[in-house]
Amino acid sequence: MEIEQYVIGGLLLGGGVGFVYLSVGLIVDVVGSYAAALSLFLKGDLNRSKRFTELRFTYMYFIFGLVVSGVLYTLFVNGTMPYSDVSGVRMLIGGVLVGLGATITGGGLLSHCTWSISELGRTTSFVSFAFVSIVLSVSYLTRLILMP
Amino acid sequence: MKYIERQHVGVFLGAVLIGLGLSYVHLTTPERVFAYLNFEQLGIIALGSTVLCALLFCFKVVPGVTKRPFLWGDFEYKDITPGLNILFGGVLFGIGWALAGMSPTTAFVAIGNGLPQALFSIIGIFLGSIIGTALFRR
Repeated sequence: MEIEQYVIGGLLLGGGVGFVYLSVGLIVDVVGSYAAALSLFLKGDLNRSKRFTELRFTYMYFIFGLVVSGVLYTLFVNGTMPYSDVSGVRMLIGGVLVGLGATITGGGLLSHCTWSISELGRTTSFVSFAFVSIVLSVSYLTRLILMP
Repeated sequence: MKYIERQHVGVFLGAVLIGLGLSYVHLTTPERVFAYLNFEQLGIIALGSTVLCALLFCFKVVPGVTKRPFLWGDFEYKDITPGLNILFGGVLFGIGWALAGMSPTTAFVAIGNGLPQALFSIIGIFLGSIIGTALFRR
């Protein structure tokens, strides 16, 4: 890929997060989105915070937007559906670990980066930097050990 | 209750932009993610730098001028406190990401792209979310 593609992708990604913030004042929280979707099927709130109970449908629209973006990209930009050799079982196991890790820390990589930028405080920046560093290091080592 | 309110439109459009960006740099394809994690594709540095610049502009420059969001609500702030959960969560997230090549955000976009295995990733993330909330976040 050319460098321009990374820049355009970065502008869309960062701009999208920024658009949510500038339009409705919310910091993207994908963990909340999963909890919102689950609450439609499971009784009782999984997350009893006021933020979640007031914004449940807002979180659902976030998920809807992510799925629609994928459809739009395949239909109008790429033209073909992607293919992967990764098995469903491996995706399931990896997904459980990702979901568990994201829930324990309160968010994924994008969320942590966004929080640190929104606050630009020492503690928040340190925590986000630590989380990103841990994730990237462990991912690299995991692939080195398990899949040489 | 109205089913489509102004905040829903803002969040939906933002999510579309996020998903298009992730698709455009192929972060929704596991094999490409593995190449990034193996540091085989150094363009990820350009991607990360651009994302950070865009976030800085949107979170620090524009709110200083506009003072309020243009559709709904007020600007929120989030505080994170350091703790062992960052270490444990980061390790689990890292291992899972290296196995599946999917993150909570990219999994939904990948489903839209038409990658059927992403559904297993989403199911797994839901299960992980349930376990994590039951054990750690109540």
